[in-house]
Amino acid sequence: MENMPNLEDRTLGKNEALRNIFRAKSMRRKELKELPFEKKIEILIQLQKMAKGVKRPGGKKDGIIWMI
Amino acid sequence: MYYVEPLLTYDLAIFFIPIEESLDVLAPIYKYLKEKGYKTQREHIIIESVPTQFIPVYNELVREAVQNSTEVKYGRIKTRVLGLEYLIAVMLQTYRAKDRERIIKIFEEAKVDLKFLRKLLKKHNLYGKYAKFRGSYFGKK
Repeated sequence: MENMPNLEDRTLGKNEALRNIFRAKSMRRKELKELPFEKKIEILIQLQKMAKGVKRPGGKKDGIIWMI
Repeated sequence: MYYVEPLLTYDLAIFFIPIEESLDVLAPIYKYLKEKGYKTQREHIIIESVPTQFIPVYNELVREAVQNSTEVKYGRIKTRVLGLEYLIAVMLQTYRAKDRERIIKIFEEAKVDLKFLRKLLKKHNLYGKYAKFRGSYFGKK
């Protein structure tokens, strides 16, 4: 197994403060990635609720929420 | 989403291999579900509030991806998801903006078996596209 080069590593250069912020974000994403499938679906439904009623650039509103 | 952090999405795509060749392999599925009371909405059928799309395998890559899909559990329900490398290959083939975005996310977050991916992409004539994509987004071929 190999990993691809990290985009943030290549774009943030030596700015340590920014690198720390992005490192923390990356760690959070990794934690979320490791969640069980059921928990991810729960989060997805939360995201759908948060997005409900928000207008897209075209003016159309999102409105679907899975009732599972 | 199985392989990366949760992402906002609204629909569920179910790929399947039809048991027999027919002009309209979707008709019996839609007929059955309509009889159960499920309504259609454009290309989706709404099953228990989830917009669902049934997609018969449309080429060799997708057929192989379905044949090699992995069994996973959602609660006590067994289901299947496409293998990670197959998913990347299918998204490279469809190559919409959201596919490119998701491929980047997968490479950032998931452990991809690059050796297997290269072999798969070469088999399905997608390696050139992949090398170009990887060069553009990751600066490495």
